[in-house]
Amino acid sequence: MHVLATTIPQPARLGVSFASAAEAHLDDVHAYLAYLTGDRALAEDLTASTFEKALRLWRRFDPRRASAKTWLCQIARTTALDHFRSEERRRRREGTYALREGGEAAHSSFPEGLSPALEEAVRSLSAAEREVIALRVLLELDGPAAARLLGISESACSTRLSRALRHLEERMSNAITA
Amino acid sequence: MPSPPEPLLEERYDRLLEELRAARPYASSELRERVRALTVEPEPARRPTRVTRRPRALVPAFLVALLVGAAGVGVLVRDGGRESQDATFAERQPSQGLLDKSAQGSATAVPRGATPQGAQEAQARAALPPSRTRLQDYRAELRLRVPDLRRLSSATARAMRATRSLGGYVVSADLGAPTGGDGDSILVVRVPVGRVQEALVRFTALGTIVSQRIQIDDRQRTVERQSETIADLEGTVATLERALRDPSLTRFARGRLQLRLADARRSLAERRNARGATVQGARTARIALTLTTRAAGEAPVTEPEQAGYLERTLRDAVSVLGRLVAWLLYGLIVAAPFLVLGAAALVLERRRRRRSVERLLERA
Repeated sequence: MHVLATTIPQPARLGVSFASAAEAHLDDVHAYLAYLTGDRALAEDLTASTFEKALRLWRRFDPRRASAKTWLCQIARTTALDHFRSEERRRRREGTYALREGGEAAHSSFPEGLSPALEEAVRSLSAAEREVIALRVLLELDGPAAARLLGISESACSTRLSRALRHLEERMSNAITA
Repeated sequence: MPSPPEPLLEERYDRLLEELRAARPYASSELRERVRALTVEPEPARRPTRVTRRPRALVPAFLVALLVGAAGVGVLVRDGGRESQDATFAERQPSQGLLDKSAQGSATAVPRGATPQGAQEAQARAALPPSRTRLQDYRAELRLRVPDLRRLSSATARAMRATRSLGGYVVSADLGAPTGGDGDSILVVRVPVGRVQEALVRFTALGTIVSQRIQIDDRQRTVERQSETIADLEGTVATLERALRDPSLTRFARGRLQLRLADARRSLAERRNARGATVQGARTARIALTLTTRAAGEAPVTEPEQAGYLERTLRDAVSVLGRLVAWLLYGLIVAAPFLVLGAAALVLERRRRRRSVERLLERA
């Protein structure tokens, strides 16, 4: 029994503390959420919620199963999806679903630093497309980790990324020619 | 180590990816402070997770324990339920019968030296009498030495005559008497169980006892169980026959009842035959008589000896394991449709959830 207890992986025992993981991956989680939501302010709130949740769940984290970055992004995704669902319910309740408050989000502050054409192109992508770009391009997660996080196969993840980049390029070139 | 999305994509969308990476959003100092404030708080205490984690590591241990337990139970059941083998030994011990004193504790064939004929007969009379109140499977093995081939032939003939005169019959006879050298004669006979002692006495008179073995298996409980089953089946048949006399039965219900009745009758006939065979087997004792001209020390050519305790235990353990596997297979076959349905439901549920997330992300 004692031997078994000592073999159970514990993050602290393996030299990973929550503070160091949070420090190392705060920007990653924030970038991911910023792309997923398309709203910087919302991304900040969700990032804070993500780390609160992560702190509560920290003892369940097993570094042998996934890296801290992947684990935190998984929690961030769940947090964002919960937010989207609750927003959807709120809109439905208020009877303004048809109007889609998307306009508000569309003009909210998207991550700075992108050229206007690229920012517009990124904004026009679906959340799923922005998400895969964030994971594979910005966070540089490898294919299997990203696919596992998204709950899809590796090839589907690759296809989604390729399609997202193609859309991005098309929309940019459309914007330039316009 | 950074992992480029795909080499081809990296090459094709080089500038695009470069711009995306260059404009990567970073957390504001305010957010950084908020998260730091979280980490200042003590991490929640970890509950001791001794057994709850990694249950997969326990699966092999559990299976091994299950198999060992099953084998142990099998051995215990064998020792407790089958009274035959140990009972044979236990019954033999106090009376000694034909056993040589030097061979106490052995349940297999017992070699013995030459014994005066009168003493042999007296011992044969005292040997393990069959029960008068219970049905038993009585088996005896007797190995006798005769001086020469001529005596071997005549002793074989006398043994066969003695068997018939006792109301028994010869199951098999194998006389090997070459013109030179040693010879053996192996007789397997069945005699009425009430006359088995008399048969043993007459057989022992044919030569000098080299070894003997007596084994008694109780069959009373078997027959009682068979009788109970037969009584149950008779009750079922009577009930079904009564039900079939009801004129208000629909054609469908009548057909079903008739099928069940035919089934019950067939089972009843089989059980009656089985009980008859058990009773018939218990009415006669089986005696394997080996007559040989070989010296006592030479290897016997009789039927293979009964397995030792260890071998029997191993055989029983294997049999229990076999039964366990059969039951597991049975359970698997019965549960398979439900497992398939459960797996399909899980797959569908996962797909539904994935679609719902995709739709949510499209709308977001």
